[in-house]
Amino acid sequence: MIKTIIIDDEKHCSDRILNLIEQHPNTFKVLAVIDTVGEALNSVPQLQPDLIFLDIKIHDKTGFDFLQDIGPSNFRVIFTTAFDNFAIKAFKFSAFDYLLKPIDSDDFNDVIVRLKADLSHFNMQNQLQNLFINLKPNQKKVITIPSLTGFETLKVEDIIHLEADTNYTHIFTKDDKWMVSKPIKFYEDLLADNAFFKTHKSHLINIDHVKKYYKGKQSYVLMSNDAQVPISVRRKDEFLKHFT
Amino acid sequence: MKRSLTIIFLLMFTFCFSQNKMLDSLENVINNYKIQDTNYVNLRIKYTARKLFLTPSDTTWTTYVNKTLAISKQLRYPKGIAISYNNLGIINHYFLSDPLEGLNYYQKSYDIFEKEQKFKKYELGVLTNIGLINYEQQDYDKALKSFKTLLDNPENKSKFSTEFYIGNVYGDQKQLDSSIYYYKKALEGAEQNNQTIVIANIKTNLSIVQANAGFLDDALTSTVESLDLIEKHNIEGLRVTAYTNAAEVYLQNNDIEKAEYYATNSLKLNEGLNSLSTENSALETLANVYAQKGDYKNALVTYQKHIILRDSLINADRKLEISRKEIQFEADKHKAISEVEIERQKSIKNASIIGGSCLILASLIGFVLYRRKQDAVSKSKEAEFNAKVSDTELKALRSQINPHFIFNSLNSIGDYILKNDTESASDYLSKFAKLMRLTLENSEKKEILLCDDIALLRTYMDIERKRFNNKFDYTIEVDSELDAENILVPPMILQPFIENSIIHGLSQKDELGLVKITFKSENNMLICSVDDNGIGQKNSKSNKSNDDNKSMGMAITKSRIEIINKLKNTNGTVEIIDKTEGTRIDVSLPMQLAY
Repeated sequence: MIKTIIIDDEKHCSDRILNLIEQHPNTFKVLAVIDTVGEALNSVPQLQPDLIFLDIKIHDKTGFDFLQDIGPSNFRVIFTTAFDNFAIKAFKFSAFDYLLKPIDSDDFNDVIVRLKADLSHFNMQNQLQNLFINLKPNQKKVITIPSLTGFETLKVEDIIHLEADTNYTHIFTKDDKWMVSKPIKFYEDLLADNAFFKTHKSHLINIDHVKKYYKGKQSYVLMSNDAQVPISVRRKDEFLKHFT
Repeated sequence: MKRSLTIIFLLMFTFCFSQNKMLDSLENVINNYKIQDTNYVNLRIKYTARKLFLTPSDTTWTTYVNKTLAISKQLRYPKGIAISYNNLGIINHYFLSDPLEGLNYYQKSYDIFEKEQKFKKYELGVLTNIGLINYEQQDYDKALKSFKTLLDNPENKSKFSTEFYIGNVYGDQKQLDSSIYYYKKALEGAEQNNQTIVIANIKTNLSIVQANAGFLDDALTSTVESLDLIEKHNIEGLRVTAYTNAAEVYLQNNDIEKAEYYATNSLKLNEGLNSLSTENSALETLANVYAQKGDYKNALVTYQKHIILRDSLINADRKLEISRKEIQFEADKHKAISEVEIERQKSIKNASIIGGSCLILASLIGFVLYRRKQDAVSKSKEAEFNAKVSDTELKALRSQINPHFIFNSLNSIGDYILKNDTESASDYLSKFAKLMRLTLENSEKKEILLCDDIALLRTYMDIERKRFNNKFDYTIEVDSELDAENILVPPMILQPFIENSIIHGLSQKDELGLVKITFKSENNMLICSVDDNGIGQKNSKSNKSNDDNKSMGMAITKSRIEIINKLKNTNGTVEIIDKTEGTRIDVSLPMQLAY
């Protein structure tokens, strides 16, 4: 049983979560439903939950305030929010789970399945740190990628290029290489606004790391780590726009 | 050994008789003259002409004449320039013994005189000098050319001297007949003009030519006549030569006594004059005289003297030869240089012509290319503008889809609430919200990947299915040769047709309906089909209540495809096919790959 707390200032929202939880008998044990940050800060250390459904706007405070004040903890967080593109992006970068209101039962089920699968290994502190970085407007973004031991943090600007390998993606930085079990499309969407360009069906590059461009029938770029990345014919014009 | 012919320079002697008094007054006039005009130049020329041959050793003549030349050049006075050149030629020719340089100046002078008729009289002296240099240098052809030009000159008042020179040239060339012919003509002219010295000179030269030609009697006559004139008028300048020639002529006539007499006297007279060539001739004749007399001792001695002199003369001849060669070389060099210069000028001219043509051609081509580029730029700008207009239109159409879709969905939710319980309504609402999010996200984009569009359609149909109590099933098939992750489609292009099928075709049907959605490629077009087994269009049309909705969604879609056709220059179409049971819609779109 997952010891669960719901923090949300709107009753119909918390009711909806409770309603969804009811559809998973013998999975959750709801310890409390809390509607202020202050009360949450009081109760959470005592209750020692495994999971918190955390709203972002809680009266005049935010769920982020709560996380910052509570300090190092060992619970898992699922954010619930209505529509906040910026925050959603930050969640994605930091690999946080989130549910969009009104919460769809299918989405809820997906999150629960994922939660059960890897409840054991995660590093809340690391993830939180990344979240706070990514929430700041003009901060250089970091992404959190799952690894065998938990999570790795990568500065977006250090990523040189990514290469698809069926349902996996290889991520290349100056000195390292990671393999993540997510399709390249996930990163394409995630990094779309950050000088990343998809040169080819299975290649995503960081424009800032392009060292040389070789034109020709089969054009390609040489990245700062001397990797050669092909540019498909259809992407050539679009690619060149970045340099004019 | 060639027998030299003697010329006395008549013109030279006339200058020599100028009075010193007159020269002094002329010098005074020149020194007091303040303006450097043509008159001043003429005075200087006059002074030079009068005094040049009186003081040939004066080394300042070159400077003096050069100054006259400079003033003439400044005044652009051709007569002054040409005469100055002639005088420089004389100085180099006679005083400095530099015939090459002299010839050079004569030539410059002649070039100017030649151009104008009024200078004909000045031409005489220059051309004579040129001829004489060529004669001295044994360049006989050139000498003859100059002299013969002189004969044609109407200003030539002493043609006889020219004819005399020609006779000399032919004599040296051993063309004895021509030589005698010209001598005789010269003799006629000289006799008419009472030029005694010239007559004597011609006759002595004629005698030796005649002797050589074998006309011994004529030669004897000429000799006697010339000797008579010389004795009668005491022409000392001719005496030595005449005696030498006479000795030879008498020898050939076997008059040994007279031959010996004249040869011996020639040698005696020559002691003062030291004319080697004459002395050599006299010695040779004398040696032959002694031989004829049988005085072999004297013959040997004289012959030895002759040989020694001859050798030194041969050396002198060689010097002359060398100098001639030098002149030839210089001329060749000048010719070569001028030829090279001409060639160079020609090639410069050619190069300029070629370069010029190339430049013109290049600028023409450049202009054409520039125009073409300009046209292309303006065309592409126009195309860009058109694209922008179309894009805006497209955006407007897409934004119409949203509210249209939203209100249809809200209508569906309303339906759902009326017919079902609130729990399901809430569930339905959250799904609708999810669909709205996806729709908003994607409809902002011009094109999305086919896989994304399929996901969107799936969400949409799941909701509709739920709403109609699973009254229909759907299948989505993507042809195996298509890569849904690499094909771009306009977002939600099929949605109005699917909606149409569900609402108008299937919802009014009693049995389980089926919507088949297929994507396949055909002739580089992407064919998207919506195939239902509903009640069909005709039946639906009779059911008038929802006709407006239907046509609006379809009309928007059709407009979108039209604009895409315009933008991409393709021929996407929408085809509605009525089947016996149900309807099929085929939308064909240009195949567009993302990568």
